[in-house]
Amino acid sequence: MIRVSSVTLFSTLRLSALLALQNLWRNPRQSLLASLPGIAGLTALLLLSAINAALQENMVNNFQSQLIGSIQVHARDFFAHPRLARDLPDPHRVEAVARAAGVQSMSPRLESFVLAAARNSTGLMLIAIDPRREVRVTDLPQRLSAGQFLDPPKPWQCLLGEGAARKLGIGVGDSVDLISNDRFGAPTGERFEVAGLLSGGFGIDADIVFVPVDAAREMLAMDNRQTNLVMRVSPEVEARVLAALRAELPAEQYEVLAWHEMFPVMYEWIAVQRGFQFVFFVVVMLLVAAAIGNVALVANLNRRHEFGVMLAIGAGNRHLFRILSLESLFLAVVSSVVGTVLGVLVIDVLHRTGIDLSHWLGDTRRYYVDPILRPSLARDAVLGIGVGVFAFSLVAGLLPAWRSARLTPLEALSPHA
Amino acid sequence: MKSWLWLLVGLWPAFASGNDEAAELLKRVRAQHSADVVVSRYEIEIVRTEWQRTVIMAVTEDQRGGRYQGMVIAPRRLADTLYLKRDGRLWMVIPRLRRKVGISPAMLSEPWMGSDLSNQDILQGDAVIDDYQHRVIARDGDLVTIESTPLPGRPALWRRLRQQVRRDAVPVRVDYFDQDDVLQRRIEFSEVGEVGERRLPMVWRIVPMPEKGEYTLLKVSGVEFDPTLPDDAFNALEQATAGTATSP
Repeated sequence: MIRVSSVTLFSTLRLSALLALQNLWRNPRQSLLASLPGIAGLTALLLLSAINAALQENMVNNFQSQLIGSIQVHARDFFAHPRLARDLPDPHRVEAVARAAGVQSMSPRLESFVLAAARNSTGLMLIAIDPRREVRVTDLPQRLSAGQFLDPPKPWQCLLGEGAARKLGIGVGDSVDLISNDRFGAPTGERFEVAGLLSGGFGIDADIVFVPVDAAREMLAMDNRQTNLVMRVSPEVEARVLAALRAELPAEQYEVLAWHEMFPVMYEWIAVQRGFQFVFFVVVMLLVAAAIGNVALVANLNRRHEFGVMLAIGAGNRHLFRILSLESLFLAVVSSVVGTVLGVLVIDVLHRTGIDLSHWLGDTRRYYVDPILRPSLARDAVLGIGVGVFAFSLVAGLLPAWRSARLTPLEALSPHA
Repeated sequence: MKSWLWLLVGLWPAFASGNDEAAELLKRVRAQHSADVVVSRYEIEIVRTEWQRTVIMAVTEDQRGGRYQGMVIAPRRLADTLYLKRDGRLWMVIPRLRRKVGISPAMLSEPWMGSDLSNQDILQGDAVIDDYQHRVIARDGDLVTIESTPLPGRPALWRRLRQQVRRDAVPVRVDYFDQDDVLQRRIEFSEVGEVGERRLPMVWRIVPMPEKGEYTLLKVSGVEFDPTLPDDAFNALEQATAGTATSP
């Protein structure tokens, strides 16, 4: 009995599907009109999602590349209360643990504060770097606007931000005296030659002076000590590396901080942007659904006579609803597939050519964004947006189908209805 | 000697007292450390939980002329660093840069050379003399305890000082209380030595409170009162104060 019912149901569905397909095929212009909002909406959302994803990835990447890296290890409480006496307890061990966790790009740093004096004087943050290793964790050399990057054989060189150099009244090749307290709190100072000028965010422009770590160690009586180990890892492995470092390095001695824990502004900004993006996407999907529903409603009104004849010859309201629902389903499938293919193609082209943001926004680097943006899509985003548009399209088509299926033959055939 | 013992002088101001006994005792303490010219040498041991360092310093002071010149002798890296004081202003000269740095008011509360003394202690050791009033609050055999509080309307770093002095004008201990009346620092004096007719504590132990095992031990390794100074004794000070200073 069940088998008979299943066969009957299948036959009915097959018949309804054939009729739905025939109806769509019979009116290609109308079918195209009905699927256009879904196609356009899906393509636009995919493109927007790809641009947003690229923008966020670009910003996070630049944020890390500029200065802070992905992860930093310090002595406990150093980040909140930096003091030279609070140096990294065992840098070799930290590097070994990081290497075991798969980190390949890391560089030592020594951070303090100095009074910089040349023609004028100003307070600056001193960041001492290993010039050879630093380039693996940040792109400081690319921030050079004049002069050269630090040359390891010449210890008494420094890099100044353009703003800091202006404040001090000096340029490339000039000398600047850096005065500070050494590890024991006693005054110390050295004369450095300005090797290059930098521009960029994070205070690079106005508040930081970079010197070779060996020179800073000598000046600050730090021997072989360092205050930070900066690492660069991909976002995919960041959480795993963090967990490995935290598991191996005792919390009473070390602090292991991810970039967003040190500087949460960017992380929070991206979270807010994602929230807005979600709301925006839902609004666009509702608009797409409204457009599809409207087209379907008008199309069904035009087909009232056809529905009246079907009902008059005994097709039944359920059968009519089934046919119209299947039409919506096919249109939603076509919209999703075509919209996805079109979206992926457009994104692919734009990824190759790039979008020149500077054309509209001017210098974007201050926002940690490269001038040329290359949209890219994650599989999850395609799936999420595709399923979303499909569902909204389907539901939008079902309402007019339900309304049409409630008609009586008399209502449908009446010329005054 | 006053150059480092200025702290003592500052701690035992004699002239603003409303209590004759306290004033008299503090006047004698002051006299023990005063002279027209004082040349002294100190060994300063700074002990921290993370490190320990000994600084040797030579000080020449013209108390009558209000000139002070302290030069670091050791450790080698800091050698020839100068601290200069004149007319209520303090400078530091870093020899490697030949640059004079003015100690701004914002830097006065910072530790001096990483020790438990502050730049303010160096600059205003004398200045607090007139800013406090004193009274005897206890007597215990040979020991007199004096409490010093700021005179009304005078700016003062400390809310009160509690000092113990022997009747022979040798200081024993000073407690410093902050504006919330919380004990912040203690100086203990020991190993009293005789320099001519003067009796001076040769070892000072400066301890930030509450005590955590960190302290500064200041040992007087040599002191001369009113020696004959060469004409160029204050050359560094004269040259440095003639030019402009770098300041933060």
